[in-house]
Amino acid sequence: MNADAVKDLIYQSCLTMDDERFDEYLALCTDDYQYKVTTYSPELRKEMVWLEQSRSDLGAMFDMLPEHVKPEGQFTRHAQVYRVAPNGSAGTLNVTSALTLYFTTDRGETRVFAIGRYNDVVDTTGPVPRLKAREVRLETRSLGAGSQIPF
Amino acid sequence: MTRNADQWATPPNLPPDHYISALVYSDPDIFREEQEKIFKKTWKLACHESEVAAPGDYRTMTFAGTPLVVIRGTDKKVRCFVNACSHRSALVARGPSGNAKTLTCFFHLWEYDTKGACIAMTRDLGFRECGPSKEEMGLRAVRCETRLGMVFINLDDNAESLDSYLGPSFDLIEEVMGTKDLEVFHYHQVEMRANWKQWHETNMEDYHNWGHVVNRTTGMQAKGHFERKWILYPNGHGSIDPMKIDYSRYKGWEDRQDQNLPGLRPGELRVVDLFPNTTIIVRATCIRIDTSTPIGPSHTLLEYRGLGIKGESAAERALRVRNHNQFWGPFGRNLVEDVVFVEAVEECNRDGAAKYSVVSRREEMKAQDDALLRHFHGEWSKRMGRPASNPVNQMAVAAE
Repeated sequence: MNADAVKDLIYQSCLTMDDERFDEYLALCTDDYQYKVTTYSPELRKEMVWLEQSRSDLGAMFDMLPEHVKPEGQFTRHAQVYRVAPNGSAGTLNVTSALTLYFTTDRGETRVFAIGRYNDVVDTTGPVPRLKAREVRLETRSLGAGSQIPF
Repeated sequence: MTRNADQWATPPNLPPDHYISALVYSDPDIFREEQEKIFKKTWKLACHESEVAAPGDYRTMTFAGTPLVVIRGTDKKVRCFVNACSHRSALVARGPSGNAKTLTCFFHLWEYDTKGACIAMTRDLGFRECGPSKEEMGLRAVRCETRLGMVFINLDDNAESLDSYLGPSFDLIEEVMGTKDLEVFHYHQVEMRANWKQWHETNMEDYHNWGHVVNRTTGMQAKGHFERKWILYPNGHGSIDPMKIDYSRYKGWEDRQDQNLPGLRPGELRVVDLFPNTTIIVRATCIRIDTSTPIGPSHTLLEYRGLGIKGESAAERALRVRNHNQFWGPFGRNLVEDVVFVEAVEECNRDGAAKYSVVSRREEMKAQDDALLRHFHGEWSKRMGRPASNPVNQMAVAAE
């Protein structure tokens, strides 16, 4: 699999989510896609899962977003692919990307919302790579009001 | 019909305990007075005992401007101290948590045991001539008591006991939280641009559920939702009759038939609000506890904990975490909305654009009656020695 195609997949996942083109985001994912957000709590001295969703869970979540009250503004994801490596099982690659998430309010103010990493598993068995699993590993734990839109 | 400025500033034509002056949310003097008369006098949730499970485990926090450390002693008793060395006042415990056989100040290495006694003063020969002695230099102990696994502290040495303060407030959650050992699996903080009371009012106001699509489609569709009655307890606490919720009404969610916590019917909801700033919400399979630390009139630190059963299987825990995260946590459907609501209220209170908040709903103490809000502000008014509707004698000021 061409490394550029893998990188393009990661960047497309950011762009589609930034633009809230959720159907196009899901089209980048395998049917058994698993998404989760994790972080470590120094208070509890434990790992935490803040969101864990299947592809169908995400689909339902996206469908309901227009019904929810949300902070007024938009996210911009900045990912940089650092490593593309075999993960030991045929047809998949581990892809590690640095992630910075910005939030721009409707008044045009932009601030860093969160930093972390995408730890992705990419399926390379098809004609184009697809996301099989994504762990958003957050360093930032203070997220203000939070977000109904996954990172 | 619209109102002009004078009309807008005129108190509502309601009984005085049925509206609240916006000043109680924004006035710096009132905020400072709250610190002394409320937060330094009442019981505050500090942490859950599972956060200090082993001897030497500690948690730190700052409340009412006071750094605190909660530590489980070598005798397994949980205690709280002001987190300040008796010598030159540096923190004796740093970081949000840890484990230590003794608390050693990192500045001059004075050492305290887990009961707060000073057990070592570095190069103590220098203190022999003038003192002090170790025996005089123990840490400042803070009242600390545990109920249903929740560790509460009180900065007032003369405060009534926790049991007396709570009264029967925990009756509805006694079986839920007292049957099996629980542990915290989720913790996060929100720094919110809002007054602490605005947050807690939202917890106590069933009427605000109209703003949540999740509640409109699940809880508010449940049989008996509007018929539940508020239960008011002494000291400003309250709860509401339990109810059963079909969570599968919300797209993508499943019913909560399995793994319900002890004493609950499938899907059952129970809520307890403690004055001044702690709420316990049980949604069938999981528990959320939130508590706040007021930092300024328009600045509040919220802490959220999610709890499950200690020792349960990974699959059981995963379901509980999933159910918790559906509502709560930074990606929860409801928590984001609640913060957005109260920050919007604060924007209008901050510089006096809003004058009064109306809490006049009466529905025979049923769910959408503002009874608990009035009960809360009655307690606030009693402790502050001034009515929440007129905290600085606004009517006299307006007349001048």
